[in-house]
Amino acid sequence: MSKQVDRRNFIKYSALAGVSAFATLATACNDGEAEETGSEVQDDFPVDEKMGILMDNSLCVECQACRVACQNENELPVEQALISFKSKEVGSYPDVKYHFSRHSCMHCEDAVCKDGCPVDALSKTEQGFTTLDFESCIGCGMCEQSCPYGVPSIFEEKMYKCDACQHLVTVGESPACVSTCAANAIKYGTYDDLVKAAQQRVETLQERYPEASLYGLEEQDGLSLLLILKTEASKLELI
Amino acid sequence: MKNKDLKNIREQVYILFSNLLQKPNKNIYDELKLGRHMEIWEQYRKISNTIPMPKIWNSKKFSEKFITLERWKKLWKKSLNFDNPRIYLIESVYKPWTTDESCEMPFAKEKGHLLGDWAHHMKYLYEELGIEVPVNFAHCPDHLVLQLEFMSVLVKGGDLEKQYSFISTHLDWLECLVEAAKKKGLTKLYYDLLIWIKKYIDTEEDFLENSILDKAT
Amino acid sequence: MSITRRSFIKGSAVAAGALGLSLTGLDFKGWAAKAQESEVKVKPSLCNTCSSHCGMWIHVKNDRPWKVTGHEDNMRSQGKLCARAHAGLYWIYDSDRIKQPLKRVGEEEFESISWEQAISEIAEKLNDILEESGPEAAAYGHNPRETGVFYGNRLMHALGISTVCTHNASCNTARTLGFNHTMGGVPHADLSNSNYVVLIGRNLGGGIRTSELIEFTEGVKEGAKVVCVDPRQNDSAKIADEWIPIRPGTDLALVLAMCQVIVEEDLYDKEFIDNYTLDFDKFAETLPQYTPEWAAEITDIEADKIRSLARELAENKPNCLVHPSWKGAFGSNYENSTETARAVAYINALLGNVNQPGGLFFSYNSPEIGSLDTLDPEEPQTPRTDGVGVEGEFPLATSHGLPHVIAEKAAEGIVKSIFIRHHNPVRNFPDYEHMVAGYKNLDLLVVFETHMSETAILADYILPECSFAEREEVVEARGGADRGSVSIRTEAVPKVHPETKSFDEIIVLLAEELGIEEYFDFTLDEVNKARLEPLDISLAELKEKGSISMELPEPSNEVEFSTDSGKFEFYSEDFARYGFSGIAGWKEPAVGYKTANNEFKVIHGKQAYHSQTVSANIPQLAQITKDYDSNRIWMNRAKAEELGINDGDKIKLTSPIATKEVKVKVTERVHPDTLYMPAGYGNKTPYYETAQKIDSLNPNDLTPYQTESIAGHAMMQEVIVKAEKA
Repeated sequence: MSKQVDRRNFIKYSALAGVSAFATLATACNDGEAEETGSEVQDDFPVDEKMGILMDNSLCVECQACRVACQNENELPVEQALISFKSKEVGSYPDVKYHFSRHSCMHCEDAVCKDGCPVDALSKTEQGFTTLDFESCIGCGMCEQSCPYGVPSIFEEKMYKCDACQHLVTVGESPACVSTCAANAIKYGTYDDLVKAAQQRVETLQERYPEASLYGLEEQDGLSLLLILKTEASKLELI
Repeated sequence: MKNKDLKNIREQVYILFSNLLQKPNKNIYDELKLGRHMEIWEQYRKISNTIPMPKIWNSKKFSEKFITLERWKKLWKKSLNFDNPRIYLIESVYKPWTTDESCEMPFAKEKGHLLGDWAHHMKYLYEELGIEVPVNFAHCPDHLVLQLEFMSVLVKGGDLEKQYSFISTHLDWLECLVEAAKKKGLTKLYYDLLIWIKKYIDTEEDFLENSILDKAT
Repeated sequence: MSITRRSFIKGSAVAAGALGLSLTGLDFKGWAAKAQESEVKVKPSLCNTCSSHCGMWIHVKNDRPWKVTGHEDNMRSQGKLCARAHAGLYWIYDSDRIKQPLKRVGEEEFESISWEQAISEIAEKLNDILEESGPEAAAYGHNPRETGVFYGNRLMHALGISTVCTHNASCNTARTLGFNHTMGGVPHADLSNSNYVVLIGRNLGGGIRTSELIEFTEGVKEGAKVVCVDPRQNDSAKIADEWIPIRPGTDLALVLAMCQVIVEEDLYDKEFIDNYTLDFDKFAETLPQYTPEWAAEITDIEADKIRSLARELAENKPNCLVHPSWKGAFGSNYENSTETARAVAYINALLGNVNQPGGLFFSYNSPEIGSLDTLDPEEPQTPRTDGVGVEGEFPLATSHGLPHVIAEKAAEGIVKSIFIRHHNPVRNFPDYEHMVAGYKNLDLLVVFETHMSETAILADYILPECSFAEREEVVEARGGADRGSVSIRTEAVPKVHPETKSFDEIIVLLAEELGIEEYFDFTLDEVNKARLEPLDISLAELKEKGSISMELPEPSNEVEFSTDSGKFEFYSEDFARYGFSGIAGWKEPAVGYKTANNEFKVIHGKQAYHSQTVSANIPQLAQITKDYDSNRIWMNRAKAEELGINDGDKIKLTSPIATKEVKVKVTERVHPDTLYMPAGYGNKTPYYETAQKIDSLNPNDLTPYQTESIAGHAMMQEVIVKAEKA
């Protein structure tokens, strides 16, 4: 069985049956390859298929591990975070709900930011992510104004936003936020696999949370960051 | 002035500054009292008369009434000692930690950390020359005291290009140092000394740049 | 002449004027470009930003760390890392690290000295104290992990010193004591397979242990119903099904009333009670008084809610649990915490969930660790100075000891010497002034540290340890459901400060000087080889891999308890013998359970991105605090309106020992009687400049010094404050 198949099975399997991530990782470590590379687990995701990141807000505890791993992986200044969280209290004590959502580049299929960029610094990759050519960027803020999600942030004349860790995903590894998440809340995989897993999860959630939904199938012609929501977070302006 | 004298005096100024930044001892104190540093500076001023010596470093101040050896030691300990100085005389602290684009440390491009690229390059230079750095400088081979001494050695060697290369890559952070010293309220004795050194280094850089240009034309 | 003499750079290179150096060598850019081409190597380590010791890979280039990733073969990290782990590398290159042994020469004034001087002076002073006042006058305090226990306890035992303390009296000693005296130990909660989980104060999403968060979220994903009982809506509640706010310190009433419902309505596991427990009847007799109506008045939870919670929980037996917690609500917070812990053990027994999937496990296995065949010092029989195990003081308290009591004894001049390692009791126990007064009065305070903590700045001698990424340590083993792992810290990067030493090196130096070197007749490698011996793993292999995981036998479902009787004990002979209640029953918090109109109870709890008070100085973590303005105290909105307080206002809090100001976050997510302060702020050391920028209230400044009667813990949340707009 090739490693790639292994990994893709893992996503499906864990979504369906909730297999322990540890057991799978342990198996992955037991093959010979891992040892040669200093026994680090090498992810082996496709590099030429449409990929996505699936964020399950119903499992996230806002621990900020993804934020800091992302900062380190992308050499960001301490003040710059590509992942943040928007939150809202709804109701009043004691019947109060706390809603929140990850706030970062949604990787729109129809990327308005890209169309408006005067120096063509933004582009879509074959995998479906929106990337920035940092050198070309002049920090004009056009993208900041056009982004439907208010994501881009301008700092010292450059724009900052998530690029799904291009240097990792283009060699078949998963983005830093995904690899570090201990809450089983972020997955990386082929877009189709993620959509299937997400739909299944939403169905389960709807038994307890009728408003649960999958955000990102339709919006901006589809988003490569898919969000599983326990509530209609879009109405709460959390997205 | 002859080239050789010029070289000698420049070399001596570097060593003088390096010694003034170190932990005070009786020998140096006695020489300060005698005004030996003023003599060296007077000689240097014959070459470049733009930088006056700060008043607080006048030999008269180094007396029982004003700065005793004990008090000088205390001032040093408060300002520049190695363990918990008010400000660090270390290049890496004032520069981005590394210029390596692949570094993913949160502080890769941040300032304020030890053993940055600059320190590693200094270490490399010492190794190339077989120079052993004392153990208490292990975390800071890019300490100003060492860099000034190192510069004195380059001056002695006489190669202007090498001197210029060193001064422009490794002694270009003194402005930040002086700023930090101001912000942290460094004692006047050492604050003035740092400004003095910075002005000297600026003058040196101009001098070296011009000399190299002259040679070329 | 001195003034023109070179001090440091000598030799032939100087004579030649560095002629040997090429111009290209001086070219920094050329050098840097070449250095960039160096290979990135991964070196294994164990994180040190909290005490979970997650396995990690440090990516190292040119001897410097580049980033960290989770180690997949370590039971604690399982390939994942939290925010603190990523940010914690900052410590290695922090320019404010302690670089040399330091000796106090004045108020917070230190002078660097040589190791020889430090060791010989410390040994001489300690020997004098031991000779004049005996081993009772000396103590050791630490965060108990393998290296500190092996080397530190060994040194103390060899000197006849019995008072070895840990941080636990500010953490989980009441919980541990309560479980020990009912179940015979603290079980593992099988969160990933549970159908119904009740968390009382345990905040798995904030007080993070990576492996537990993984298990918890797996359970949630699998459909476990999760109920969070906590005066504030904590991070676990974000993904739980229900939040039940409760008055602080009244969890015991809730648990007793749930027991009452479960027993009265015959919902408990009779077979389990008959086969594996003792004295159930004695417990059942006490229950009729604990009706949900009775508890409702105390807890502020409606009686019907208590009834339905008890019924739902019991319906899911045995694949359900009430979490044994760590510090949570009943680790060390209240006068009734030990009794709450016993009651939580009771309710789990009623559910018959021991060694059942989704319940509480005692039967997890752990890799078998060997021990070195060498001369071991005998455990000293000297009575402990903190009163642990001493009749008339704290006869039942756990061996984790009582650092706050030690401070009191130090102030009285009874304790004269303390060694502290990886532990900051002065800041992390209630009543800062009380702790300072005690520790300042010592004749000899020795602190092993990397940074100038609040305890370190009071030390007579500070011995600089190298950072976690620069030292090797004692091999650690971790068990689990059907896998376990062994791990080791390695020297991932060379020492930044050559005069720093690892703990084992320092202890051996001290032992030699103290004349007890016969107990340290081995190297760290020999210790580790012996530990690995039963596992057929070579030390060289472990040093290369850092963590190695292995299959372990599946945990058994047989029920067996490590109590004296081998059964679950509702009635405790030990408790009764020392005049405590044989059966755990209702006991009020020390400051009562109700508060007047402008009065509040102050509770605290961790944020996922800070660890006690050591992480506020890490810039990336401090930035999170700034971005989310999260160092404010939470106040209930309706209460705030009554008092004319708005979100972001400064409020003034007056407790019996102090008046403090703090910025307020007005929220619906906290019980009206309660103020919740995120833990980890309020550093007092002048050396933490980043921490000063996010300085805020530390509840330890409001809570007085006090001791709970059974476990002796510090009653971290027994305080009522008056609040007003500042």
